[in-house]
Amino acid sequence: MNPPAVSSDTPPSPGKAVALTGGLTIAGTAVAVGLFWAAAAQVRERHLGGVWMWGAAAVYAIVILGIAFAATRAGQRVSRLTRTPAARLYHRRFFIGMGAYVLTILTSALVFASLHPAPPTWLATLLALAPTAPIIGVIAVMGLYLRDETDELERAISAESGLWATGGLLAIATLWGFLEQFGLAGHVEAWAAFPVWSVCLGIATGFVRRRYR
Amino acid sequence: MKNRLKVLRAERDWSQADLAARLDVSRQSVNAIETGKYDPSLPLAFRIARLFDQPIEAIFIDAA
Repeated sequence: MNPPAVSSDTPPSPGKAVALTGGLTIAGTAVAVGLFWAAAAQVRERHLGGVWMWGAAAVYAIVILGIAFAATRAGQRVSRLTRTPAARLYHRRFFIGMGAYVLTILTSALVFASLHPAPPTWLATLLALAPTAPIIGVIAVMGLYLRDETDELERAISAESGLWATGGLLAIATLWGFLEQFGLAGHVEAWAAFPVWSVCLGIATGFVRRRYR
Repeated sequence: MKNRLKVLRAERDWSQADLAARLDVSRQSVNAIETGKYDPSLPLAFRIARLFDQPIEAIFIDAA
């Protein structure tokens, strides 16, 4: 008697497909950055003004978000990862939050730059808080995901990756702070913490997930 | 932790995705448990045991 066949099990090592997806993502991002720099240079050269810069930056940001969205979907597909309902909801909320962030940061920057003399304190506060709100929203969305995820392995991967990312951010921030103090590095604005943490999270998730493959 | 999940699954001709759907977990969870890379929580272990109608210790092998 033949042993029963076990069909469509462990996926074949998706290393190549993952590398291809990653390569395409980096290439796409590089092209978008290049085009944005070229467009920004044109806007400056022709003195087209803030609204054109806003438009160029908005198109650039939408393209970058689109690449990130496509890369996320493609990455899950080539790794044959089940998208849990909580993960689906998280991704939708995340991209809505990031879209809102892009709109508010660009608008705040445009309004702030166009005001001469500098805006009153209440308006400056409003302009500063506008892009902060969607980022805090995205952080809350991450917390909601951890609460809502019913798949315990996925939750464990996310939680552990988050801790690694936090460690990475703390290490980078400490190192950078001292480099700056000793005159070896330039100043970095504090809002960079979230994007740096996010990059650390992406890298950490890849490594943590590999362990359970 | 070593376990007999793959054998039990094969006896029923279920794919990892089939088992994942029956347990209401992701396919990658089934794969990680099966390969011994992830130990399920007690509630999930009980769900697995109930599904295969066997005691937990008949499915999971404690090496200690």
